[in-house]
Amino acid sequence: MAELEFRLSGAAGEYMESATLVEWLARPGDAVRAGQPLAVVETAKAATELPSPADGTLLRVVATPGSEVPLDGLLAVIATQGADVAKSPATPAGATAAPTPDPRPGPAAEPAVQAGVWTLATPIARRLAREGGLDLASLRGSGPGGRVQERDVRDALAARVPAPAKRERRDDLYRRGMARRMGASAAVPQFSVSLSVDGGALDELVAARREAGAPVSANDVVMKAVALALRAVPRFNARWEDGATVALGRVNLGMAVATSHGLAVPVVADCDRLSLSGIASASFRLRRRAIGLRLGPADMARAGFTVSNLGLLGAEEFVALVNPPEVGILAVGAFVPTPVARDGQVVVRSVARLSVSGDHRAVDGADAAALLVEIRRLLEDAPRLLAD
Amino acid sequence: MAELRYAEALHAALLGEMRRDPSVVVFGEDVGVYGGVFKVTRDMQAEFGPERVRDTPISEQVIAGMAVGASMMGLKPVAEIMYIDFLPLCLDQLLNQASVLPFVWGDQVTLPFVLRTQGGAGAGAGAQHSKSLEAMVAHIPGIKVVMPATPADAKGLLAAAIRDPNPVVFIEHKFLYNTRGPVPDGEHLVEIGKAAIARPGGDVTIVASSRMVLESLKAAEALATEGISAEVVDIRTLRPLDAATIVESVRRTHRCVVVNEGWRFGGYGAELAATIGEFAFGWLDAPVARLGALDMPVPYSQPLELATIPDAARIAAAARDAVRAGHG
Repeated sequence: MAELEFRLSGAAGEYMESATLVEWLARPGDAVRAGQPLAVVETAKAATELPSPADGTLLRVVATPGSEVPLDGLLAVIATQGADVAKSPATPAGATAAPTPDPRPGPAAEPAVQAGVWTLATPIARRLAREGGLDLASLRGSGPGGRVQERDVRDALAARVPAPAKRERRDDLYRRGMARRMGASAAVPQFSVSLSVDGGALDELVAARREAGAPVSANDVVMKAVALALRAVPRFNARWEDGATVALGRVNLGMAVATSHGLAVPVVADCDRLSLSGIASASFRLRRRAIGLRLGPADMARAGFTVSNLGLLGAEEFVALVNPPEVGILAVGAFVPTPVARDGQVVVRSVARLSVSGDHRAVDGADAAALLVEIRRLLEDAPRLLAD
Repeated sequence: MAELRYAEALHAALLGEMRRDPSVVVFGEDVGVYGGVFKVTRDMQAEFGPERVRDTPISEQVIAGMAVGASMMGLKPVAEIMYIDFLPLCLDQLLNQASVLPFVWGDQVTLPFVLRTQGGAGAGAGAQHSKSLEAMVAHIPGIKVVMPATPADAKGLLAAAIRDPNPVVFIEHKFLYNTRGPVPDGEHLVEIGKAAIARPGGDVTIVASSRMVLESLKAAEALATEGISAEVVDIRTLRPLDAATIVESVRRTHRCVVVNEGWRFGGYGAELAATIGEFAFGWLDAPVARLGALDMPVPYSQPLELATIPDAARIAAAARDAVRAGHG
């Protein structure tokens, strides 16, 4: 008998104020299983699949694609196993019991069951509607008793404005998210501060780890250095929300990931408390999920700072834009052999340019300089300060 | 390829098989001296003698019993039951002997006989000589049931039935004996269990057998003038049924009319409709329309008689309804 309300809160967690519903992955009448992705929503960070909270039948969807759903907003209603679909409120009084949808997956699970009302349709109409992704209940049947027939579905399919392929729409998600966030970023008063860092110690640590059979990347080491530096300069471990700085207790560090679908920014949670190996495995997993469009709520912890490492792609120096409501971002350039002065001598060292951008409402240039200097101190003494 | 009448095509098949195989024998009421009431066995006693072409007493039970016994002993009898209305007199032989003996004796015997008979209404032959009882025998496992609609199939299917090691009830139609059509010369065999597309089409499938194929073709012709393209499937064999051809056709056209001259209730059309429901359900755009004879004896008065059985007009109307359901 149970009808379960599928709300944004239960699925998405505390770090999301609202989300835009991108698409439904199931249709009314479909049998669903707990954990099965039901919908794609776009959060402030990325596209996220929302899993079904229970086994049952998707009874009706409330949120429509494109709409903004607030935290705790109703997305859909699921009839859990044993629910009598025919007794749902949408059934007209006195109506005879509608057939209970077959909970088994496969051809028997027709999309025509909506809110307990059986749409009269011929089998071929049902098949064509299912294949074409049409909701039979939305069609006017021309057959006896309003029965939806093949011609009605074919006419509706022909009249339909060709929708972009599902895959393309999902591929575009990161880019659309990026567009919105960077538009917001343009409203943030930003500044940037930069310095050079010597990569010798970093190389030494990476080489030692490789020899020890526990390899980590230079970026993993940078992530750890930044996380520890944020502890030392906590003003950058914060968010600018509702006109005020909100300090964060945990050091969750955003990690910009370039994918063929656009920029994604998953978050390594509690990055300051992770070992290098822990950061390595977390960032590997996040990259894989970002590339596969599979980032979930757990990959989007609430962060105040992000690392963007275009040095991985060979860029030598750049300034990154703050990802609001985060207050800062570090741009990491490539380590390149560079002639530098050391003790009055010109020597060639592996050097990278680091640049911190900040939201000037929350942080200032002195904070940024302090953060950069601390990051440099940690990186240039990496084997001693950053080794596990 | 000669242009032959249906009766002549049957005669040609019998002649060919008797000349080919000395174990083929013919018996029945008036098949010898008289040459059969529909002249299918004309002049055959003169060629093969009274031993191989034998007149029997008016006892269908005896005729069927002879076929069972002789076939078990190695002959290939082609027995004739003059009217299908008398086939029920043979039912004990078919039900309790022919269809079960190979089974209960562990295949130590085979019964390669053919029971030729004819049925159908429309000739003013009255309630006791006009029935279509094919559903009654098609119900029995172990018996093949064949109903040719064309002269060519009459020849090819009869030859195949004679060579078949199983009991075959071969049902002709009194209205078809004088129809003409091209018939291959010499040996001509048509596989038992294969339907034929008598007319290709795309909007509706009409499944029929025997004379109803001709009525369906007339209906299809009329429908074509209205822009409705009807496909006519001649099942040719009622058992084993070529369900694949029917289902393939319905999956293309999405609408179906099944036509059988026998009584509608519990009739062969029900078997066809159920088969389509089982295997083409997801492709249907209208309920399967089922045409059959009215559930009553065939009247002697010809206008009344014709009113009891399906015809081209009724078939076309059913097809039109299926195609234009709700658009009437």
